[in-house]
Amino acid sequence: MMKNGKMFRRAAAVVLIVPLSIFAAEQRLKVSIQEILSIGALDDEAIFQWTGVAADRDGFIYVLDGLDYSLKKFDAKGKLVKKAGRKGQGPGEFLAPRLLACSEDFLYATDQTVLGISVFDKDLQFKKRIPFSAPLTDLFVRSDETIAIVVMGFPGPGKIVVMDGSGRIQTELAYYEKDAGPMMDSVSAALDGQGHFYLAYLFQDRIERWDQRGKRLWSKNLLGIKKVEMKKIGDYVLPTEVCYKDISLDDRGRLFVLAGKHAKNPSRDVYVLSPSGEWLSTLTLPDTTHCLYIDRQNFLYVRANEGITLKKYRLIYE
Amino acid sequence: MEKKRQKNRTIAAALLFCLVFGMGIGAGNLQSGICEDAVKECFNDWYNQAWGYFGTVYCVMGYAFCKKYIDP
Repeated sequence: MMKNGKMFRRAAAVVLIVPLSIFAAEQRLKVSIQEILSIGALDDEAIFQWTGVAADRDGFIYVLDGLDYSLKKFDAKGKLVKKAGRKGQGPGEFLAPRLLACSEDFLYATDQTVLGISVFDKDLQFKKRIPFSAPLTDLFVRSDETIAIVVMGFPGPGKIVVMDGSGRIQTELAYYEKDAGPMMDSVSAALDGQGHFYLAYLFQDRIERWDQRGKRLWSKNLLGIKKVEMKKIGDYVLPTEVCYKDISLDDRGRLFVLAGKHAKNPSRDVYVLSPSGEWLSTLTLPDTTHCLYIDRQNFLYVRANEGITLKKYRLIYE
Repeated sequence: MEKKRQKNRTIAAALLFCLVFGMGIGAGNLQSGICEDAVKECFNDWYNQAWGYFGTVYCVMGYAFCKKYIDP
């Protein structure tokens, strides 16, 4: 078993160049990926089902494992260095770990069933919980004093809140001005170095850029979806088809948007846009993923094997 | 290998699904529409109903998670 695992990892570590576009004739930038690391395989116990990922400047990779109720730290070669957490609602414990972000010194983790943000140091020691009274759907950290969260506003519109390390709110951005129904405001978000927010709507064909004062700078629809599929479930009418699953920014401020059900390759097609919203390229990942994460060194992290495997890729531009 | 892979996928997805809505589910339910079925059960669950608004938000959060992470 172990031998097979090693062989699998070796095979996965072989450099892989994936040609990536469905619109080769039109794309203005060719983007390809080169696999440099694969953590977790079907026949090992490194990862059971990862949900959140973050990487620091030293090359350490941190993973929230939903089936293991844990936070894990891997070195740059993919070796498990430390594991923390267990099932529970106490300090440093998890029931349904979800989002993860890191600053220079700390890690920030959320749990679907526990309100607030848990803060750990880089040795995975629990430090504190930042209180917040509503469920969060996205989280990004620019520094320990600038933490941005996307707040689910069910049944009303959601908002982005920027707060400091103690949970004191600095600014709020109401990005969705009207109540179009439950969950229509669900977004993934990214924050650039100038303080602009990029939003990708989960159930609408909308990608937007906003400034911190709450002004929408542009809005794009890439999929040509006019009507949102809805279904009555219980007392609510809920959207059923996912347009965009996640969004991340590379080191030049380009947007990487993971497309959902309407894409040619659902959960694999990644649209690359300029900061001004122009479509540049489409990248097709080898396996389906639920999230995209690009670290400060411009490495791309995605899922494979339904979350059992974490892949790290180098982004190559031509 | 493929059989083992499929088994692992099914087990992992089933377990994660249980985490989302805190309920038991058979592997046979893992198909298109699983999130709709799960959130319906979640809405109808007496415990979540007893929690009123918070129970509803819990179910809706689970639905969003399911759509993003699990729905094929």
